[in-house]
Amino acid sequence: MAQAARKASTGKASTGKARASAREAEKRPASFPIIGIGASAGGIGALQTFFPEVPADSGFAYVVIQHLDAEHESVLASIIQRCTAIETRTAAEGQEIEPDHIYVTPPGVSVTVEGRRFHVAKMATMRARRTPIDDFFTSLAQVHSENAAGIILSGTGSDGTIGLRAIKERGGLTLAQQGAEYDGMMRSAVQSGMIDMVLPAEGMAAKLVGYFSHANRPESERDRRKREIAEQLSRIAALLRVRTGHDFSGYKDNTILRRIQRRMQVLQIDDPAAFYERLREEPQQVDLLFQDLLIGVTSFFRDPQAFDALERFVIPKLFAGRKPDEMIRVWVPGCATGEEAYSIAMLLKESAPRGAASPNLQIFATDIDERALEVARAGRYPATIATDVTPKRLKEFFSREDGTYRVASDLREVCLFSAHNLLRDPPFSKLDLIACRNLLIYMGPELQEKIVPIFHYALRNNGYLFLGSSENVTRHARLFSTIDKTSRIFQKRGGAAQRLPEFPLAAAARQAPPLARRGTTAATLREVAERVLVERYSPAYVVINADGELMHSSGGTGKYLELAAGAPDNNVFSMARRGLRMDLRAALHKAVGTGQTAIQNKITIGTNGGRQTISLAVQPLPSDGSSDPLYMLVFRDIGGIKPEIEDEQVHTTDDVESANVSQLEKELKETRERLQITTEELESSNEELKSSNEELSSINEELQSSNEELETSKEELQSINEELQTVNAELNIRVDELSRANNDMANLLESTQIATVFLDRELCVKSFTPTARDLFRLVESDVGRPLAHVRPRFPADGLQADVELVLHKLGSIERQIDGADNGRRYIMRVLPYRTVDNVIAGVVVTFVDITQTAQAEERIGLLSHDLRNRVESLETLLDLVPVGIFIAENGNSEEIRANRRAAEFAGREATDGKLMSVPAVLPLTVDGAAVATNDQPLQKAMRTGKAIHGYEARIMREDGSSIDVKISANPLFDESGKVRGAIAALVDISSNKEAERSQERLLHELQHRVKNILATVTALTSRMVRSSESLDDFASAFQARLQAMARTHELLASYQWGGADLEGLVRATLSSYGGDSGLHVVIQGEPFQLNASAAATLGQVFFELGSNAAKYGALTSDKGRVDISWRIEKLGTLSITWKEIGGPKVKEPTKRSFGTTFIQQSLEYELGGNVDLSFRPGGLECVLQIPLLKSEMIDYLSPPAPGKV
Amino acid sequence: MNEQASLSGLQILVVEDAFLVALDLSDMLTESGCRVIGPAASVKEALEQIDGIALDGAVLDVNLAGERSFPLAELLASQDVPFLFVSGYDSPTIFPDEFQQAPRLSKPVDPKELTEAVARFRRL
Repeated sequence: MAQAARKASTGKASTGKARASAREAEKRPASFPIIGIGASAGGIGALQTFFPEVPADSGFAYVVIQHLDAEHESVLASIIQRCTAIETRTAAEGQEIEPDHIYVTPPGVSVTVEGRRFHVAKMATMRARRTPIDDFFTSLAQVHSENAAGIILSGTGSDGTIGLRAIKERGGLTLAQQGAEYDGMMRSAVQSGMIDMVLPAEGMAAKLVGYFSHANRPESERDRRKREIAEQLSRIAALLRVRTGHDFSGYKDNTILRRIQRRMQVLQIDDPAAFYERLREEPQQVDLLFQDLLIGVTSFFRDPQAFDALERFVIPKLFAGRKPDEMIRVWVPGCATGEEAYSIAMLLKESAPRGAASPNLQIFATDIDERALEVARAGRYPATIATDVTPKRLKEFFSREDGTYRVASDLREVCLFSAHNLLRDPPFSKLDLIACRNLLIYMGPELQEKIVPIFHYALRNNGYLFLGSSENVTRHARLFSTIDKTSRIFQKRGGAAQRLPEFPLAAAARQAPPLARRGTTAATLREVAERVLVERYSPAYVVINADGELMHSSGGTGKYLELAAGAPDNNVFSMARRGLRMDLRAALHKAVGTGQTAIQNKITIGTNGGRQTISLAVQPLPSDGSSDPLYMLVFRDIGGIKPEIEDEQVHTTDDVESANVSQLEKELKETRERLQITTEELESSNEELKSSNEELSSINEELQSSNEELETSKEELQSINEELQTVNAELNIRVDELSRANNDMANLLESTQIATVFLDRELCVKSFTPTARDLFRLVESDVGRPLAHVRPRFPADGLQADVELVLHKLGSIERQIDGADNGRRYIMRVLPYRTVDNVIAGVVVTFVDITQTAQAEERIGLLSHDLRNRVESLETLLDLVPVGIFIAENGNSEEIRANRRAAEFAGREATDGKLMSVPAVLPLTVDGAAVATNDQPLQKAMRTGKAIHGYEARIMREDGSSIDVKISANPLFDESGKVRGAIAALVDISSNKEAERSQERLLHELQHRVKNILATVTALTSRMVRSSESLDDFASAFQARLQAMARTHELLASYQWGGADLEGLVRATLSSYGGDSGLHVVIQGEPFQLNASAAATLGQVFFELGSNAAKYGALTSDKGRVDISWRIEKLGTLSITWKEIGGPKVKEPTKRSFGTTFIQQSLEYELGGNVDLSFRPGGLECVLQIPLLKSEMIDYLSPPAPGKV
Repeated sequence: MNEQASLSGLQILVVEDAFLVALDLSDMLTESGCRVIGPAASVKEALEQIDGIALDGAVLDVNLAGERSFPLAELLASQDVPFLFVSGYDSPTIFPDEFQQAPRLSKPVDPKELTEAVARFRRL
């Protein structure tokens, strides 16, 4: 195909070629056998027996042609399919036939084969003319010849016989069913001799396989066989000659060899010698072979040029000078199936003058084969004759009936077919033409020698003989002259002695006389006797009317009457012989006038070779009144025939010898006369026989035509009967199916527990299911009652309206209904009841109990509501919790969903409350090492199926920051315990960590401070111990110093060790010296924030200054006061001035106290500042200079820096 | 007195920001026979004071009014000068790794422990 397509693209010319070859391929016959199976009544059973035995791989295609009612849909294909594994289809137009398929022809059509495809055509309207089996078989034979097989199964009628003939003619196989239910078709086929084998249906498949495996031999093998058969041919021909009298020895046609070969195939014999032996043993086989050999050696217008010659040279002569009432008689011996007879009839009809001027035509067609004759009489031929017959003739002389042509009735009337054995039965006579073609060749020379004179005898003068191309009568040149040598047309020579040939010819004993003849002998003895009396002993007579018209004539009137010259005339006067006419007229006149018998005696009339004296009686016949009176002329001879007068004058008297001679002559004359009489008698009886023969043949014709009519109506009845049988068989199967379906339906309705009520169009109950009985409170007797009368167990107020609505609108209604008392719930459906033809025939009401379903639905509703709420809660929870939740589900560790927090961990922006997808791998590190994909919490939990307990890790984010998390994960399992996913929870522990760290720091700081204070206290103690004069002195001073330190620390603690306000520090330190009254201490300066260590140092300094002032200075009196002021100087120095006013008069001490030393040294050491003490008389003035920036010991608004001391 | 003898003549740097404590430490060392360099209240002061002096050891407070004395310790370590830390911090976490093994004394300092610790400078 592909190649063809490529070729097609190269050019238009090749396209055409490719298409043509494709078409040819389709036309070519299939390479596999196609089995046609014809069946009619009882065929279904036979098919069901046949197909199970068919092997599925036989390589054959099967086509089933079953007589079917055209109006009835067939289920044959499905019936067959049930009993075989081979695919069964219904044949369709154009469908290609494939091997190992079964095709069933559809009803009402005629299916034929065209190439490898089916052709479907409409069938004839008249049942009797439908012959689908013949149609198919004929086309099958035409196309597939030796690869065709025809099987006839059960059925009546004769369909198939013609088709089988075609198959057999083309070398196919033909089988018929043994023990068929109806054996009509099979018998018809067997009688026609067209059946190779009669087998039971179950045995056919094996036979088919055996036959075709025999047949499919290579070409060379077949040729070899053919040669072998040719060698055996003479022996086989001898057997045939002995058995049948036919000689095939000189006939070496390939057809004969093929027929013998086929016969051997049927018997499955390979060796021709073995076949010969078989023939010898079974004479029946010889008959079968003979029948095979006889098939199909004839056709319409065989050797067309011979028929052309016949038409040109012979036919016109036959009609030349014929009168309309004359008859042209033709004999076709060995007519077989009648093609030749009809061919000649057509030629005659064509050449005959039209209308009343046409002479009558009569063709006697005879054969020994009664079966062939039946075919011929039926005049039905396969469509293939169209190749032999011109379209014009087809149109004129044939009528198309399905796949066959039927000879027109007027042509059939011309042809009279009868059984006749040329070798045994007497011939026809006075024939114008004998067409005996290809018959003599089967005869031996001695038989031919005898038959040719018979033909000569049977022909009238100048009649024609038409022989086959290899036959001749040249050896009988005396009898026949040649008209056309090549066409084998001969003409009878006139004038030759009309010698009657001898017959019967055959050595075989004459058969019993035909039935018809026996019938006549069975007549009464009296009739016979009377007839013999009349024929033999009564005088000759004729019956005439008053005008002398001849009405009837007995035998033997020739002596008295003769045909007049000129146109034939019925008048007895013109026919009367010499000397009779006058007397005849007188006597008739007398009889007519008197009504009595008139007799004229001693009339001498001239007759053949002499004079005869007769007496003439005219006897009026009794009249029935209505018609003309009739008269019988009776001729009675008186004495013998006297010689003519001239003879009497030749008389000698004197010579003895002459006397002897005259005596002898006299005797001779007498003898002659006697001979003459005998001859005449013989002629007259011959005439009589002829006339009765003609009568019989006309009766025969009538019988035949009525027989044909009967046959036709019989066929019609048969075919109807067959179709009915087939339909009946199908219906039976359908009834079975239907009852099975009914059972199924009943059980279904019972098991479904669906209450169903069927209503008719009047809304009366038609039927109901058992479940409906309870629901509707129905009882059997409610069938037929209106639905409205029924009181169901449910509120049915709307039911009637629903039902009416459905019936009206043809829609359907569905609603839920609660049972009245049982707490059940139903779905009620009201639907229109449609029949198979889609006609609305009522309404169906069904109730399905859905109580449980409804309850379940309700529960499902509640549960799903609950579930929805829970899911929502869960989602909200997930969105809300500050825990990152990662979820992997459906066993997929790649697709991970995360809640808001988790999305943030993964570096995604959470959009709304929904879970969102995140990458499977988080940027996790544990102790600084990245976590591998496999060890990610979700993956690990899914992989191991075990819970992963919390461990700490760190998420490194893209922006470089990191989050400390605590991770735990749990696998999720499905119902079967398989891991279906996992959930990981990540808790942000960054703030905890930070808190931990700051707490630790705080703890260290606290420890540090405490220890530093302890160290300071330790150092202070040892120093004061050294400088104190007494223990009391030490105790009070030490206590005061500790309290001052405590106050400073208290202040710092209130600032959380972050530093202290300068003013606050001053007030706190000096509070025990009246600083709280505010009268004695005046503070002036901008708010200034000190850091913790500066505050501690300054706190000690202010304590020492205050302590000194309270002991020795301004604070010793109530009127004294201390002005404390500070300012920031430009050089980055904090300058604090302590000025005592109103105290006692000051004297510079001789020895510096511990306090004074400490002030100066510690300020210098710790803060890098200096102290300027001026002991002025008005009061002490102390200026503290503390560098700000340089040492960074004091800063503005510095936050409490952890770790700074 | 054995120790006093062993400590005599050692030049020991004292770095301590609290005046009274610095004074106390210096007194203890002086009484043990050391020659005290300082005391210094800051790293900067200490560097000024040890310039040109062959130190036999150093006693360092860790926290010098917010400043850490570790840079000074590093310098001393690079000159193979033995030192010890005096600190209110008990936790080792605030010490850098290289000084985790350095001798430490907790405040308030026991004079006996101090002299023993300083005595070890000589043996080294």
